[in-house]
Amino acid sequence: MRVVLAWAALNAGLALLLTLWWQDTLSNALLWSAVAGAVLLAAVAWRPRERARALPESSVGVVLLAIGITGLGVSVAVGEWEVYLAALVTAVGVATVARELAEQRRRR
Amino acid sequence: MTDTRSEFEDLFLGLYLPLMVVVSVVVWLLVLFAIVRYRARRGHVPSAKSDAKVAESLYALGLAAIAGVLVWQTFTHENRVDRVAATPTTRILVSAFKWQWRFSYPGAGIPAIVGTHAHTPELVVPTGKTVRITLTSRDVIHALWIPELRFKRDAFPGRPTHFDLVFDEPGRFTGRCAEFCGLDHAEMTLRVRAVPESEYRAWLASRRRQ
Amino acid sequence: MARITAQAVTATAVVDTPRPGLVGWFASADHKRVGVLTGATALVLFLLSGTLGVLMRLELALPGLQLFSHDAYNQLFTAHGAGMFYLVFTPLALGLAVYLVPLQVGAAEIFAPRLAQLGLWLLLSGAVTTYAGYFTQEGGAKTGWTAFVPLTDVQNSPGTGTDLWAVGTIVVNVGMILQAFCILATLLRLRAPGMTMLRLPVFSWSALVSCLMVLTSFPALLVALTLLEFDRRGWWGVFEGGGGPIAYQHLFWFYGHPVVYVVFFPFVGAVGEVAAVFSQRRFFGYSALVLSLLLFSALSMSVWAHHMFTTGQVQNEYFSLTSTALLIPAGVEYFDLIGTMIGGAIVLRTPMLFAIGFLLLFLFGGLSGIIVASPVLDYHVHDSFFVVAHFHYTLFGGSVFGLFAALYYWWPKFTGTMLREGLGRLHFALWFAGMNMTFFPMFVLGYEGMPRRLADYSSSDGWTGLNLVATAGALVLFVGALVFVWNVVSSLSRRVPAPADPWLGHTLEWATSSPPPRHNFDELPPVLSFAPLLDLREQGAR
Repeated sequence: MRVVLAWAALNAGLALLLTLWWQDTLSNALLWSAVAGAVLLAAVAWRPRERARALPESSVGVVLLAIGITGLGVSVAVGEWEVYLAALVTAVGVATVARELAEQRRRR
Repeated sequence: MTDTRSEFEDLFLGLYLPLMVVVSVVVWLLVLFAIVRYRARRGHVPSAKSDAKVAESLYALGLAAIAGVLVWQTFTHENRVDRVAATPTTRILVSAFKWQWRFSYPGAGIPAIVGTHAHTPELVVPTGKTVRITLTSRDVIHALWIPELRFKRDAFPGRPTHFDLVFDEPGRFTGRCAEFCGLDHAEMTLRVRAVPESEYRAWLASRRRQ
Repeated sequence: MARITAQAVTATAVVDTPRPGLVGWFASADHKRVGVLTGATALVLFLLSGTLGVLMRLELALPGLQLFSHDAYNQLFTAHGAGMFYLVFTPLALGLAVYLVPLQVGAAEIFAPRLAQLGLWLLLSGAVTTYAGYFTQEGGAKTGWTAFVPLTDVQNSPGTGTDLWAVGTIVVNVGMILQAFCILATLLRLRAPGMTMLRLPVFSWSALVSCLMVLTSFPALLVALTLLEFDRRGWWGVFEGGGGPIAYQHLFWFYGHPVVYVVFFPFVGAVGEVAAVFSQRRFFGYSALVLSLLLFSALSMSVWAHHMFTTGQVQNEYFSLTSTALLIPAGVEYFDLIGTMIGGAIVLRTPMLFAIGFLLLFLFGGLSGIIVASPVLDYHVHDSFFVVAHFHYTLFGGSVFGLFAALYYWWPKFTGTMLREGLGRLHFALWFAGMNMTFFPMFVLGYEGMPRRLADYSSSDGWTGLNLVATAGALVLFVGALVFVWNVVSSLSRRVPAPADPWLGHTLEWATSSPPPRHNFDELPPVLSFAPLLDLREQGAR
């Protein structure tokens, strides 16, 4: 966690230099948001050592989810009725992954 | 007066390029030396030393000093290149569009020069004077690049930009569009003709008569 | 020193019964399979995108050839650049880390394996989507990988090709963000007992800073492309108006600069590992390297507007300062890499050849980068072939050579077979020569006034000779790529079995079989430094 915070601090120093030198809104927003993002990422390290982890062998749900999400993106941009099909595939993908996770939890 | 080419050459040929050449030679020699001298051989034991903190710290400070010099020289040269004169001698409006150029000389009373696919437009300018260019685009982003002067500036729609150019010597040079702008980006060539002031005035007069 | 027992390591048990057959193979959630599939996809697309580059060079070999129309050429260079960044090098960098990081830190699996797997499948479906655009009526995206507005708005780029490209690119990059998150979480939470942060291997450190950059800069691309799509759909004209084009560039380049380091650091990390192993000593200057990676990656977040010096709309001086400052950490890294070799006992196997090639060639990319960090100089060479040369020396001389050092080095671990050494050396020689033949002339061409993204030029320009040399070089590169493919095919068919540790490696991935079992390790050696296996060997020798 200290490493990520140290990285955030380096970015903060550079962001401060930018703010003092040039007050362009968008540039400062971008760089300071990276600082904020880095601070949030430090939280990823926060929980101590993990307990026993399950090793899933495969996940068909993930494959369906990826196809569904992509389909949603494509049909929102260039399609019409395809949105419904993509939403269906996405939902099936989510449900499959949820079922896999539940089974995994059950077997532990 | 802003002499973009000599500022460029002073900085590039006088500082950056020699530094790059020296660094390249040193690094290549070091690497080749390492490969030859420290090739694995019977009985050759690799060194157990795993850092050289003092040497490396001094080296890093040295790098920072080099960076400092480069930045200082860049800033001083850039101030001169970016500077715009209070009263330029000549004003020209350059308008970029897909896929050619339009030049107009406000206040000179002459028609605009417009390039076409078949006809490369010629930008006529006086030598030894500050030429103020106002550059804009009619559609997508283009860029006006005059390699001879070592200078380019982007042309944005709705955001005119101003810069000064000085042409030391008479001559004919090529200009290019340097920002990809679609299908015929490669065709957006222009010519620049720099002439002595008297010839420039004569040219303006002849254009007025047409 | 007691080894950590098998019991402790396999406290994480495999709870799934493997799904049989092809479905189970492709839908695998094992980080090793996900890493291999991500890397394999990216390598295939590398060959495709590289071939597009060769086609571009064929067009430009001579003026006026018109093997490809302007429209076709514009699609070629867009697909070449976009392919290389979005579909090849980012996935290769992250895919390599997805495979290696859990092993290097002594973990049984990556953090949230299904997320990493989702990243792979978003890469695949996103790639299909972007390529689909090239089969539409108006053709695919033809705006350059940077996709500036207003060029990409619906008036200037009509047709669904650009939309498919934008959506596909968004999807791919969501996948990459997911993989980066998993890698980062693994590094921060799943390290084996005894592995403090300052005992992470060099490659893992490079992966760490790459993931930090991905997670804090890639969202800007997602925003830029999503807003572009909104603009094209007519839902929100956020890029209309005078300030639109420059706003897009800020958003794009805020991603577009860090990404070039994302596709660089893991490969320089690999070069560091290779340099140490093939010099038969500990990596030199480890703590300096860690500091320099942190500084380098932080700086890379603050330099983006150096791509915008010629707009006249950004504060050139700040960005010139931060960009020039990059030479400090870069120089430190060179000190460490060369310092590892000097005093070592160097073995010139193929991975080491590519590592040395990296050192010699990336140098020109880095140095020319310092040149373009100066606005005065950039005013001349921006958007010219000089810049094309610069970034090919960093991307090819740097990332590609580093990638192939990594591939030749870790191939036995990934596949359980050895690649052929003779073909590897031939591959290296062809690429070392070909790279310089192709890209060095471009420094001169750009300096002499040849803009980039040029579908053609004329004989009166005086650029023909150097272009011809560059094209010849590209053909040499193409032959070198074929040699690599032949090496892969013949190695996989001959199947010379690879031992667990063919190179006398230093790091934990070599302490298990090639390839590793599903749970990665049966037992772990004690971790007392960033080179645990070297420690063990030195201890045994005493």
